[in-house]
Amino acid sequence: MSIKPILSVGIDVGTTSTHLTINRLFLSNLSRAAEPERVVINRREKFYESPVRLTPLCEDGSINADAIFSFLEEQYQLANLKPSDIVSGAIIVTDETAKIRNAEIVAERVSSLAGQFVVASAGPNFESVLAGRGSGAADHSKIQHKVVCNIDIGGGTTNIAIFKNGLVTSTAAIALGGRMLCLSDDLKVLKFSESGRIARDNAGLSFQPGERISSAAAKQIAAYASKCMVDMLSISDYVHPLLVTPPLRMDEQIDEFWFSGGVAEIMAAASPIQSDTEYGDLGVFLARALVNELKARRIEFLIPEHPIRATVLGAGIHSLQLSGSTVSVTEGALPLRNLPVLRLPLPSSTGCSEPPSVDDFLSMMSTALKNQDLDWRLTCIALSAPYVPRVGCAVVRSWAELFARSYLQFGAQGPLVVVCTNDVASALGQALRSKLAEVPIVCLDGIDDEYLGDFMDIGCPLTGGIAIPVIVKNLVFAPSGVHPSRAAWAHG
Amino acid sequence: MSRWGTYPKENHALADLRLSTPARVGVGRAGLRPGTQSWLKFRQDHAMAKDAVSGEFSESLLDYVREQSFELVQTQASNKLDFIAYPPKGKCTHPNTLERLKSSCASNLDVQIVVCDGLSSQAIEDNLRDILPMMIDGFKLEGITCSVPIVVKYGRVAVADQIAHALGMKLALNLIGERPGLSTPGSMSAYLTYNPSPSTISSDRTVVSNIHALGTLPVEAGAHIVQIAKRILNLKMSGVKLQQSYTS
Repeated sequence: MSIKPILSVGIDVGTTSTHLTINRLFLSNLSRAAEPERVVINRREKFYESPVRLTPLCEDGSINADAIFSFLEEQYQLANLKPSDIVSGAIIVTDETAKIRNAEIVAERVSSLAGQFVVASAGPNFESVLAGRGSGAADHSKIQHKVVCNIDIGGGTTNIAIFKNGLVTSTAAIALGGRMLCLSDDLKVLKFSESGRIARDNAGLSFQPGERISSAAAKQIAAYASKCMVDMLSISDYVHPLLVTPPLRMDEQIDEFWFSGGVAEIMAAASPIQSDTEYGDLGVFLARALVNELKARRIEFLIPEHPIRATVLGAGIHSLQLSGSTVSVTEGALPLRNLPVLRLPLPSSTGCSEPPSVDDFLSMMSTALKNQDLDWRLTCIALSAPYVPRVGCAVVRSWAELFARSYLQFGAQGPLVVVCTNDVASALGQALRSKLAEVPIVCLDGIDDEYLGDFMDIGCPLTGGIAIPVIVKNLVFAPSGVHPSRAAWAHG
Repeated sequence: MSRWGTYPKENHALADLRLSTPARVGVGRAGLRPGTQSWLKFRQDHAMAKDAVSGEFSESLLDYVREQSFELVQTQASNKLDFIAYPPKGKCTHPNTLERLKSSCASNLDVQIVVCDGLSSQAIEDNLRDILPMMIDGFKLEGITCSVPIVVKYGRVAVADQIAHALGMKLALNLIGERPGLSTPGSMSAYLTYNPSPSTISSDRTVVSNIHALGTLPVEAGAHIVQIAKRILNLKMSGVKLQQSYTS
């Protein structure tokens, strides 16, 4: 059965650069005859790629929203596309950029350009995962059966993700990047970030913005940053004040290190460097220092093709997941957007056999809701249920009982949304419908939401209802009632 | 491991490959033959497959059938050997049996569920108790009417069409044991035929296969089959025609 390909966009509004990539995704049905459909994205083709521009800033340091908007609009015209042609994708406004005052307005304006199912999203863990998928590290780990660590170094942050067998095992991000120091051509410090200040203090230097520094001082700062990064890659649970996520957990020996992002572009020296301050920041120094540090420690590394495009490729291609085909969705309940994801501290199904008692479950639920400041009476919530195992009828019914009881207990309104990892959604959904006749039920499986974020968009079923597109994401600018920093931290 | 054994070098790739399939990969060899362990495992799996074919419904399953007051009938095959040696006998029941069913069962409803041992009574033992409650619940939820399931000894796929036709049911649904392989002896299929009749041919049937604990889970398959049945009843077609309706 042939399925219509879909167009997907990735837009990266970074601390340093802004660009977009549009891809065509080909879907195919993997199931053998007489098995339920299993739809996957099996091929992707570059449809259009914009040039990389420096992110336009206004005098006061805010992002020039008009300039970005017209740049993107122009790119759509060049690609000969209307925003409505785009089905899926993501806009990545990196964490550092998001701190800029008007970032939210920018994201909102840009998302209007990006089609029906595009999300303005970011969050450090999510970015780490997208960069690792976009660079090819994730696929490589699957094909070569290796543990691959992808390090994406941009202007504001360094995002790290470890992949095994194509799956994420750990992520972290640290606020180190090319824009630690903004430098003029004569090495005058135009401005430095918090990380720049910490690196300066650690390097025993004491310059202020506006002063000129020596090339040696710039090198010293870059060396400090590289040392932190490589330490992070060598020591499990390495702690540093600049970490913006919980520390990086290393369960296993890493077979390969991959570098992506703007700084990796310089490390690979893909384009000849014109001057040390070509990008108006510490990037070139950082790239060199990092190569030296890695060599000194005898760590071999690899830089994929087009490293700067990793995040945008990841955003455009890999942010979308497709559910299994045997799911249970009440007609008209979709699409749903910006659902907060509720996770319970239950072991995932591999280690768990019996469902908890109703009382235990309700109290767990109540704690989790309280921790995330969620009120089920006001917001529709996606229950992430990787703990529902592949089992028989009786156990599926008891899980359904638990979810239905909680729905009633907490006075929930709107659809009941349960997202499983294992292929049980059709059964669970049916059991839920028989318990909650009046409530719209959305029960999906085949979705892995770990590490990806704390909010979920669930789209309308694809042609023929064979799969449902899901994006798990973070919101930098959380909808009212949810504390943004908590949203970014909740999953560690 | 003996000194004549030749085994592949262990690594991540081999471990992942083994996890991805129940097939015998990377088992090594001893001279020209498989090693003793893998040979014994092969013999064991083969024996289990043969047992699944020759095995009869167990007492415990028959107890369940009686407890639930399902109908229990037999095809024209007089015993397992007869059934295997003369395949056409498994396709129909005796006319008297049909008459008895007509008098004792409801008729002219939406769905007739039939359960056959087929080539693996083991498949029914393993999966029936999980799939059936899901289907019965699901039909009730969707407002699809069905009567009491009929369990058939020595049955093949077509027997469900014969029975459902005799009872005037719109849809025949046959849960039947698949021919066992060497990785699982207990895999079940569900065949669905809209408007079954003596002129039904294979392309009229929709099938969901590979239902077992390591394939499509019986509970999940049960709920999925309810949705397929709903679609079949709505569109009034099954088999290849139904398949084509998904793309058009």
